[in-house]
Amino acid sequence: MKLIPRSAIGIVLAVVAITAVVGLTTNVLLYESTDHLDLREEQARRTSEHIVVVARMLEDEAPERRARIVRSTSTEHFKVEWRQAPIEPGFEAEALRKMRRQMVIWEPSLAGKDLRMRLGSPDDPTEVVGSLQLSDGSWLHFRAQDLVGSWPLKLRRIAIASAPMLVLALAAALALRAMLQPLNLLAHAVTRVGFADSTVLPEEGLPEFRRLIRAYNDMQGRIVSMIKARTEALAAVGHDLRTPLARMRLNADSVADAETRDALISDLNEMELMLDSLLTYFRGDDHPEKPRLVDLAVLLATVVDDLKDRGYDITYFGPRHCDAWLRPIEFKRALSNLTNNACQYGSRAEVRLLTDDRGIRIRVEDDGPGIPEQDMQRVLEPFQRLDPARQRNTSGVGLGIPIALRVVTAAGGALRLMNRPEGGLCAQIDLPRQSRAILCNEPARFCNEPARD
Amino acid sequence: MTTTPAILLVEDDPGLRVLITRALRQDGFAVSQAGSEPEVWSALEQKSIDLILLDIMLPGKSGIDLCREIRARSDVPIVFVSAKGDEIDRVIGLELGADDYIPKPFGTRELIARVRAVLRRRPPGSSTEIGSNAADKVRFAGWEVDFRRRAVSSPTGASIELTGAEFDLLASFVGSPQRILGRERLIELSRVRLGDSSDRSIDVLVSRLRRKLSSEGQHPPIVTVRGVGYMLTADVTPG
Repeated sequence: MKLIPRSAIGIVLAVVAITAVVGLTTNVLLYESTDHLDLREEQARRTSEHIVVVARMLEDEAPERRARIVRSTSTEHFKVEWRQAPIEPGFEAEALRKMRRQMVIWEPSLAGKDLRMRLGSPDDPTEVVGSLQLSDGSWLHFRAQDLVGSWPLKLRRIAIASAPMLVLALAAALALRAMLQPLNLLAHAVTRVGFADSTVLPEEGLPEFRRLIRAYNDMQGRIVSMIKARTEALAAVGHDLRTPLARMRLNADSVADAETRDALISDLNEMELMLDSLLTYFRGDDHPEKPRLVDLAVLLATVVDDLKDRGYDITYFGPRHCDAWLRPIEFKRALSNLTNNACQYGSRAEVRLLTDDRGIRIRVEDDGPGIPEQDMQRVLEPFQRLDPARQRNTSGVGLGIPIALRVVTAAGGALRLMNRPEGGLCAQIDLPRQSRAILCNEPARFCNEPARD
Repeated sequence: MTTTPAILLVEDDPGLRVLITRALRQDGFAVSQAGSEPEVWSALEQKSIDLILLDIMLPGKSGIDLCREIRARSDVPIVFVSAKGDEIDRVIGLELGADDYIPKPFGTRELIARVRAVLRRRPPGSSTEIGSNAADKVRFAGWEVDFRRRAVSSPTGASIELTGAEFDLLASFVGSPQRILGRERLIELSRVRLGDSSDRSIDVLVSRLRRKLSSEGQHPPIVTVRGVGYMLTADVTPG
């Protein structure tokens, strides 16, 4: 139907127009019903008594003394005059007719008399002007302030005027909210761009938003394919670099000078490690390795033994066997990254494997400088390297911890880094108790002795 | 071995091909080269090859597929060459029947050592018989050794991570069960592995292997015979 607007501008205009029309209509109706003035009954009674008394006093006195009486009986809110003619007819509201009826009921002596009343002025509806014919044909004029309520009237008027406005505002808010809902979804989606789970949004809602969503989807697609292209290029370069590296490694063996040869080989090894972690990181989650039952204690021992053979002071404390469902190659890499860090930053490192009913805990502890608390989060992100003090003697490109984090998370576990109270860093891996039972062959007498060769 | 072992090198990078060929020839091997799949087949037809050194990254066809096809036709020992990070290739390659794996980049000594180790396990001329007769898997005291995949699993079925040297040492023990192996003999058997970059002694290696093969409440399957050497006490059965 064409009457229902389909665009954002249309809806906003419709809301404004409906608000204006309904608001104005209500106001007009309200002004037309000025009749419904709020009568103050108590004051009406007082007024009627006052009029009757003054009228009797005037009727009892000679005309030349009546001026004094009206002067003395006038009060600030109730003015009385004596005239030969009645008041000019004016706007007579329904409330005044009602008021007169009440006055007559209260003072029946007013019944047969000619009592005329009107509002003092249209601008000031709280003032009532009236006249009462005396028995000699002259007129008693009175002017009463605050005879009809001013505040309740205004309040009611405001309430009447604002009620539709409030309803309209509510309706407008709901309509706008529904209209802007796609924007919220978009905002959520935009905050996720660049993370793994960025989504393609359905093109819904008003035409303007559909265009925006389509533009967002296109942009997201471009970003994803751009990142993918870069990643693939980097991975390809990394992969291609291995061939010249392999050539250099073989050539290095034919260098006669042993010192030069060892230096070359050590540099080549470092380059290989960097390439390796880059490629691992960019390969991402499409790792084809399947989880299997692995003896985690033996895996840890192998990692620790390897570092020992390379001359580092590192010791394993824990059971000799502890089976867990893991991707062994991936997990070994995570453990290697963490233990390598510990050996590089500390002078000695300790690896502990602890098990209980809840799961498996691995702690890799060093006695190095630790990580400043404000950098704890940063080291979990790729390519973040800390201040130069912590960089010394380190190789790699800042992917060790991010890779470990990803591997541990993929295994359903948690990796936490913390500074130890006694100094140094502790990297702690917590693996939940897996669906298939963790089998620790020596859980009861947890071996706290370092495994000796 | 009296004859010069013949090695077919399958590698698409000419530079690397020259370097590897030179290293192998200097150590007394006869080397043929192939840069692509067709060259592999023609080389295999022309002469008898004792070992194939196969780069996993080849143009046109992956070394994994090529390995599978070579295995379908021949039992010739295959040593994979692959980048270090792609350990998954190693697992797949070994499952497909490759005999060993050398991570790239490698040094001359490591290359020669690996090639010699494979040739010793599967001497030239006996490859067919060895491949069909020798058990791919053996068991002892609940432990299972898979020579194809170079993998060991525990009595609980968990995979046990062994280094190359540890596996070779275990293979020596499993090959001579209930016989005392002298330290000298073990050193000789494992020399190729011990040669790479580390100076860990045979005793350290045995101790680590023993620790990995321990079971609660049972004697370790490998015992020390004081002053003589070591012995695998368990029965070895084909698996």
